[in-house]
Amino acid sequence: MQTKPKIDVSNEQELSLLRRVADKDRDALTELFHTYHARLFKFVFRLTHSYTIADEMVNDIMLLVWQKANTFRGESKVSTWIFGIAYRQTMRRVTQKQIRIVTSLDLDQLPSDDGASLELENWIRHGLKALPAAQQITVELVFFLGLSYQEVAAVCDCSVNTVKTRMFHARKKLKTLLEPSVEPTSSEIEKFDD
Amino acid sequence: MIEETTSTQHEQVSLLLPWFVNNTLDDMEREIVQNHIDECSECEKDVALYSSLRSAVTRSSPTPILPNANLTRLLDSIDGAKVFPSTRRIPRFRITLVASLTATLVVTALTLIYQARTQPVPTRFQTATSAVPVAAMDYVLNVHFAAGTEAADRDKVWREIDARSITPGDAEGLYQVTVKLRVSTLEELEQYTRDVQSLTSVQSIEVVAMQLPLKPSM
Ligand SMILES: [Zn+2]
Repeated sequence: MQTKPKIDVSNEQELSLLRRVADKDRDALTELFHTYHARLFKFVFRLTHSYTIADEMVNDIMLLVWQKANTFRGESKVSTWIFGIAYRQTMRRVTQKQIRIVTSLDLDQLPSDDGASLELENWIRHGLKALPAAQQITVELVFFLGLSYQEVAAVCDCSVNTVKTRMFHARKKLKTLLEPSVEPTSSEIEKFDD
Repeated sequence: MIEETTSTQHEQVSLLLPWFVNNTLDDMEREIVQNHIDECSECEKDVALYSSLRSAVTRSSPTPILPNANLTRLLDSIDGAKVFPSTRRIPRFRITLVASLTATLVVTALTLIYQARTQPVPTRFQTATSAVPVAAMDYVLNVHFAAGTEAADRDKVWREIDARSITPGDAEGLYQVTVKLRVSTLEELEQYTRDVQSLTSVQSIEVVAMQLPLKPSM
């Protein structure tokens, strides 16, 4: 039995909305827009940390939903299909060097007297910045949106194996940073950044 | 033979661990992973690493204050849909200062609860790099410069406010920066924005997001 994914609130309802959008029903688009605006904005903002880009991209993504709704074949959930558009738009802009993936800000100044786990998280954040865009986004899909590997594969339009391997490599890279010692020196971090 | 099976299982399980941590495996997969990590210290360690990764991801970002859903713009885009997405310029959105301040007040109240020490009144542009022990948080600001502002003048502003994570400015002179601030009241934040606004070349400033305080270990 599959665990109910977090973003699958009411796929049936969204499916009927999307069908109406495919028939160019503006009220349906309005409803879908309000349903997805916050989620899409937060997602793109997470990846770019730019309000301007997130605001602009949500508009672009919903415009594509309007234009491509009639191509939806119901092979995945509506949310997976819409986040797939968001993923491809993001990757397209990354490839065209219009945006940079910035999944974590420079938080080196976070209070460090809160215990070792916080320290570890700070190192991890530092390491995340060094991962390739596709790996960073996969990490976000898994841990920020909480998607199953099947859903991540559908969003990224790739095989389940590719998704699993991406996460595996992301972990391997982070481990490289963490393994030399529990608290890597700054020179080790620099080496990792290269 | 048994060893071979174990090593194959280790490989398969190690690929599933992120989804063990985010709790989306089906019951059978979950049981296989659980049984394996009970006996494999390497996978057990990886589960801990993925858990830290998940915490880092969920706590690493400023919580954005959402802009209003701009339906009119979307409908306009549909009507002029020949324009390829992302080639249009969008107007800068407005986020009311009231919303920012309300959120800030909540955040600040939480911080004050977490920090069981008295906070001295911040001085102008005081940041986390100040020598005083502070409950500082990341704030994301939109800074809009007057037309024709030179790079050197912007740099001066960045130094003055100790800006970090500066995103490249757009054609309208809008930059997004992160600063560390220690403010405990709405008045202090308002005063801060007024102070920044009064700097040479700065046309306007908006507080758009802030980093939620981290829970201290108990
Ligand atoms: Zn193992």
